[in-house]
Amino acid sequence: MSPRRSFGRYSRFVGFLVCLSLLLSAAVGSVSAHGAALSDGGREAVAIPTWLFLATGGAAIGASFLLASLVTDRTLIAAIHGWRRDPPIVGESLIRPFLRLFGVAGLIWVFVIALLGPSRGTANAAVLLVWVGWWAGFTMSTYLVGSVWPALNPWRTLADRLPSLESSYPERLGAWPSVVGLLALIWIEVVSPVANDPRTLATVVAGYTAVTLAGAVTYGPDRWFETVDPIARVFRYYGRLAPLARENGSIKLRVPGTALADTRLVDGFDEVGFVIALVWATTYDGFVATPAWESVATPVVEAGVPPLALYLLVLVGGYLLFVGVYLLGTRYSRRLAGTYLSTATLARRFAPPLLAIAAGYHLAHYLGYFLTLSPSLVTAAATPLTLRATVPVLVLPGWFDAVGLAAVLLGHILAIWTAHAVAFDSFPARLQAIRSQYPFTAVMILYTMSSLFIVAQPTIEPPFL
Amino acid sequence: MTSETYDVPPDDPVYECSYCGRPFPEQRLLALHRGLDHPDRIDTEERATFESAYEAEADPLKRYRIAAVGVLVVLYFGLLMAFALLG
Repeated sequence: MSPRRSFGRYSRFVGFLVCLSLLLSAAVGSVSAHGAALSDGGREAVAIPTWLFLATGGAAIGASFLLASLVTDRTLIAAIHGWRRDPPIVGESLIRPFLRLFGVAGLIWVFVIALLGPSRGTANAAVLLVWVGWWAGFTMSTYLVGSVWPALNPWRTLADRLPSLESSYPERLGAWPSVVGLLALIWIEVVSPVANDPRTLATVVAGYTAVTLAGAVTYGPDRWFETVDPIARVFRYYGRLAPLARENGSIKLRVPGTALADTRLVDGFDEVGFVIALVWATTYDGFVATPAWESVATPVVEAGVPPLALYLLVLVGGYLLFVGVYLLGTRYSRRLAGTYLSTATLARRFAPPLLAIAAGYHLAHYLGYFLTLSPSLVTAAATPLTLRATVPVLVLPGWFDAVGLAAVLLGHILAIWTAHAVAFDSFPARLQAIRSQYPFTAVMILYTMSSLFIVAQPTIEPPFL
Repeated sequence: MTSETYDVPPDDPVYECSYCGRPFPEQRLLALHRGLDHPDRIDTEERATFESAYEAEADPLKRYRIAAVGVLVVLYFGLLMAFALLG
């Protein structure tokens, strides 16, 4: 019997079930219209009980796993993941120098406008460019279209023109400095006024530039941006989700997300640590802006714990918890599958699918923000030194909240599918591959429910800062 | 492909692939691995073992599918009713 035949018999059936799951997601989507307010404050209270809202989200993930597990045809999975086309891209060699110039000019512009422009963040073009244009808009483009960060990266362009000491990098540190760097950036973003005070932004940009250039000069730009620089790593990982990417020298078109099943992306536990940090960072960012956090933090702060230390403690503690849960899931997965592949190997292989979750959460968090504030960015950038009394914002329709919720669910569904493909690549028996996914699915259901809990809460300013 | 590392408990049975050295806890898994990962190198006998191991998966897989669809149905109608009663 050929492996191909087993799919044909079930294909119509699977098609029916896919429709069913879409209906289920649509049901969840309509709930969100009442429930979730992603960008600016709770608009309406959840109309259905919260537990049912969370259970539906969890069920959507469980159902996606069951549906994915019905596809047991290796040739079909390999065909989806191996699909490539050559897109017609003209003037690629011209785009690169232009992007380099644009990146460096952008960095200088941000620095100057942050110092000399209006002091109100919502009217300062530098603040808007960094948070709306770059951290929201550009990041979305890296996982939805393709990452051009290696060319755009202004620090890279500058570092390439500086002398290099080429000191040898301490190998035992691996990618951990980038994990620390990412968590530090998230902490600064949450606790400092960098997101709305232009002068603070200028300080942070100057500090980041100084550290990055010093590092690149010491260890060489290749080493620095490949290993240590957290921003370069974020975009490199997000770029793996994108439909467009450079593979073996030429730009290829592929099915979005399928490259996550490729096991080359993550080749050490330090890199697994970074993927988990990225997932945790988005969760933390949302969590500290909920009333639930405020009510947990109030007694602790009243007992005399400094708020900055508390924020740091929760950031690090939550990260360690996420790493612990992932490792526990991997260990159970190994036991259930009955394999001699080491836990470390499995942890590496099943980490890249988590990037889809991080991207889904990022999209949920920032798409509305990006669309709402894009007109402000354009207006402020036209006359960057003038203080405007008002800046235009786009008012999004009420149903738009559903888009954010759909993004969270789609991220998880993509993660389930790619992990399924990784399992079929790693284990020879089909039921063994399916069984290996039980613990990961359980973790994902829990994670979705906690994410939806955060999303369904009204958004407040992080307290005590 | 990153290099794989293995963790074989000292007292457990080991069936090692003669082509790539990957260890397996069951003969059946080794047979499947040989057929899937080294299809051009295996001999007729190994191919026959692979095919029978592959076919032996059909029944448990069918039972799994029925159970999976059962859970899906319960989930779908369970939520449908929960929404009808509480929504």
